[in-house]
Amino acid sequence: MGRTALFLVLGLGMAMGFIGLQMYRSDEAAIETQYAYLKYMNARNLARASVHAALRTYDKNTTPPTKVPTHFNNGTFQIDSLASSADLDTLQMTTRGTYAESTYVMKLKLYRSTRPFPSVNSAIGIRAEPVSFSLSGHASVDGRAYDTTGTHLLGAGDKPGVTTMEGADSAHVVTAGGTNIKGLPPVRVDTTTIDPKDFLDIYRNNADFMYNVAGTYSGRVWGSSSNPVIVYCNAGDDTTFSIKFTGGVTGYGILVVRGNVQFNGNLNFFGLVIVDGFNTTVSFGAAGTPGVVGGLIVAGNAGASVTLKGTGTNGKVVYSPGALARAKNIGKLRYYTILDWYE
Amino acid sequence: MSSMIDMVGAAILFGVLILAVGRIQGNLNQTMAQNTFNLNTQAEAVYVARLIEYEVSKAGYGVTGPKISIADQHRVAFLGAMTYGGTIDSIAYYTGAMDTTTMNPADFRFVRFARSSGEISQRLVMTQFDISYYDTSNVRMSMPVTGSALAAIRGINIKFRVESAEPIIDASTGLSNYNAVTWEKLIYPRNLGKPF
Repeated sequence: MGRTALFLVLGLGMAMGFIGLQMYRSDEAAIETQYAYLKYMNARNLARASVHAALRTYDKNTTPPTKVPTHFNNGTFQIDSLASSADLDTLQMTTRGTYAESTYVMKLKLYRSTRPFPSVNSAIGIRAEPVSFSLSGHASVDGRAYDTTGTHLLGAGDKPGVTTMEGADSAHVVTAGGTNIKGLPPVRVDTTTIDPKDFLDIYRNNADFMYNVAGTYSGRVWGSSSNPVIVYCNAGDDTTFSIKFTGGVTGYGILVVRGNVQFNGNLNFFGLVIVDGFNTTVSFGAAGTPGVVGGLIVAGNAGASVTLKGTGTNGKVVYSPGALARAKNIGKLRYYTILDWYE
Repeated sequence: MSSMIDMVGAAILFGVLILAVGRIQGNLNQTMAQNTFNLNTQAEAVYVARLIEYEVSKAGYGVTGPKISIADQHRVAFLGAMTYGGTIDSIAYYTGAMDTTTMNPADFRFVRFARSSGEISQRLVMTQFDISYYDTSNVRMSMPVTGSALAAIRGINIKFRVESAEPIIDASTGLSNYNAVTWEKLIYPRNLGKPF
């Protein structure tokens, strides 16, 4: 009886152990199934993160590195290969996300486009009406097409010096500028100048340099010719609130000036300058170098005031299609169209 | 006499023990069955999810012109190359006939059609397969999506439910139900937004 009971208990124990083992295997298989799916999803998300990281790097006007793994979220992602057209309009890339032993690869082809841009068909395009406009000293405007440095004439593609919305403003500008305005013709009426107000929010949200605190600033460098940037100076409509730049200011890209902003020293800006608002004074004080190479749009409410002063002897606002093109192609203002996406 | 009482007592105790062991064995078997069904439903759900993700994300890849041909609540058909630089295939998912081979009263066959391999009607104990579509503004479109509206599809939301083939009876309450896994995902096939 005792032995029978012992065998019975041992048998039961073995049966229980076997059943427990089967249950454990079943649970383990279920967990493995779920975990395999989790690894697959994480690897895919990492491959996508690699695409986004690459595009954000392009936004900064630099080329992302290849074959360099980035550790993120307990996995890694990297760009396996990258090829672009000479003008960077078409991008082909292969990205890889790795999580545990799962790997996910994406191969895509993208087309880079530029956002709509407030093009200016003159050295200074005046969109506001009426406008208070004055040139004094030796400030001048030149609508002839210059290279991106503003030093050499291209010999083709010349534009008017100043365009206005109304004939009366045109006459006023002719009187104020006289022979200091050059171009083909020097001044004319052009109602097609785009109102830049629809672009201002985009520029404000993407600004690399933001000045919205009253004060005096000097010695500023905004970007470079290979890395144009967006600068947003917002003094608002309060005329007692002002932003002043004294000393050397050099910039590349898009400069938005709203409100009472004064440039009292050297201003060398290569690209598009948008002046929008009241009582804006742009002063050029140095001799020799142009103040703005590219184009300048004057917009805003009726009564917008722009004053160009200069003590130098050469042109201060010159038209440059090349400098405008660089401003238009600022990386973060571009967007991507999918031509092919394999994953 | 005392020996007889010992034997009867031992027999009763043995019987009680056997009944208890039998009860435990029954519960264990039931739990094992539940685990097995649980594993099966999860495995089938993962299989279908990965199939759908793999293929739907390639909708429109390598295709110029119309990319989606059928888009209603229980059917979707699209064109796309399933391999890198490969031949364009025509893929469709839709619900098939009710499956009468299982104890589950609500399951139907899940059908995948590919022009390259034909129609495969699968018994996955699927009890729900719903599709909805989102346009360029990420607004849910009214169904069925037809005509020129098909070109506006940018997102495809797929929801399915896989259940166990047989009911699981709860030993403590005696109630029965079906193990189930529900999966839902809004997929944005990147190639649907191509300008050509």
